[in-house]
Amino acid sequence: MKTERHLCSECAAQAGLTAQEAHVDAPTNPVEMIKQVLAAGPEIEVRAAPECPTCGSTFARFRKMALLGCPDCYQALEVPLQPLILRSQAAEARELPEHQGLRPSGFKSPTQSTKMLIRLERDLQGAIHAEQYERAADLRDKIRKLNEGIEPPDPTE
Amino acid sequence: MILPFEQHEDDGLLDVVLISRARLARNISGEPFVNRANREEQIRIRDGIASALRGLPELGLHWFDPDTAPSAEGQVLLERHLVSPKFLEPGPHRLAGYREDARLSVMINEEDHLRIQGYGLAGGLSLAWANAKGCERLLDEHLNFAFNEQLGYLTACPTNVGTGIRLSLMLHLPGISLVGGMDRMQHAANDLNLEMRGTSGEGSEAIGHLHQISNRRTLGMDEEDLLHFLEDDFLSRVVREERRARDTLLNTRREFLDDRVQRALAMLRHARLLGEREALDLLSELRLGVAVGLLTGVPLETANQLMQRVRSGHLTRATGCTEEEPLRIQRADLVRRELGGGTPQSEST
Repeated sequence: MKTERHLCSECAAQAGLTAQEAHVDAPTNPVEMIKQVLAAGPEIEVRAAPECPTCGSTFARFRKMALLGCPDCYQALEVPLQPLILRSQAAEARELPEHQGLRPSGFKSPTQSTKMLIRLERDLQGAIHAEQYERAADLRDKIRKLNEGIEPPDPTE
Repeated sequence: MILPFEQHEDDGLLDVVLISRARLARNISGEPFVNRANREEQIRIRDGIASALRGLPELGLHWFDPDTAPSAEGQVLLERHLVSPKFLEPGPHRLAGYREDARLSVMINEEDHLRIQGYGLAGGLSLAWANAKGCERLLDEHLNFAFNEQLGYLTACPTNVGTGIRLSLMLHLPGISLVGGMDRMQHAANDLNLEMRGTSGEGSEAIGHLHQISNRRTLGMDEEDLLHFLEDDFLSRVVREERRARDTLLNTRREFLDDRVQRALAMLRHARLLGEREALDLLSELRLGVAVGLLTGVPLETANQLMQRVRSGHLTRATGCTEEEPLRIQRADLVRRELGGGTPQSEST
């Protein structure tokens, strides 16, 4: 029988997902594996513990109030939030659609390579969660190569 | 930028559509959302946004502070849909701005730091959107809104993330309802990822056959596409169905329809006490009678205005009454006066 492990049961419970939704099965700890895969790529954050570093909101709080605490929660709670956003916004799609429409006039459109980087990082997270470690390593190399090739983003932006 | 407030709007859908609204949700970058902000932060957010708005006199806003204004005033703004029920709940340091012509309103520190609402009558969804967008673009030059590339505008509730837009239409659907088509309409709306609900928001009952339709999706579909989708794919279809249902009733069950309308008119013209709910239900029948041509003496506009003027907040403001029974008397008086009732002689006028 095939066993998929995406989140540890503790994380899944904290994320408020049912075992089925979270594909939780055996009590193996994938966080360690993620850490190993990411060891060579320090620019990628491990977001296993869903708590916002800016405002301290947890996913459990979000489930209770249906409200996030600050804009940074979107990134901090990305893993448990994403399936919910996907379900409420684009149930038919397999991945989150990218924002279309008005944007702040001061917000610069990202360059092609930054867009590519964002996509690769998202794919990497997906690969890790799907335990496709060969693919994850491959993506990590691509990200590293791309990072060497482009200017680091301006921190004032 | 020229704001579209004075623009003429198409009232060709007035028989079915009462109000069109476009709401945009925005939050200030680097600040906690309202539900997580402490007192100082709430005040700082409110004052920052209010100061940007005060610097834009072309918006023509009047101000409403729920902490200091009399509660009847808030009730009137609520009945005009210029503020939400949530805005009037005791809570953080809130502030609203609105145009007296009800083309634009802003709410500060409701669920999000800023909610901008543009309005249009009848089929004026494009105008509603233009009003909201005009205000938003002006503010965009002064405020730094929380935004990211993937998710767009970041909102307190993820169901608004992306464009932060909610387009909504207040529809009068007595025809579809009387021919038993509401369930089908509900399913159709659901299939199109639209929310259909009663007049007072989520889960509320449809008083006077009034229904509110709004989009659910806010991510990955730009505002104009959504607008066209709502207008072309949904609204035109609903209007067609409602008119067809009214025609069917008129052609096949004329007495049934006429009886409802005439009874409603008689009640409205002769009642001495009228509750809010009862008045709205009767006015809905009256409006239907006017729209299908069974009643000729009453303009559709009068029926529409009455549906707002009989609301408790409006009546309290107009008469000073706050007690239930005097309000019922005042409501009946108002309706009799407007519909030429009271004595047999005046009924013919």
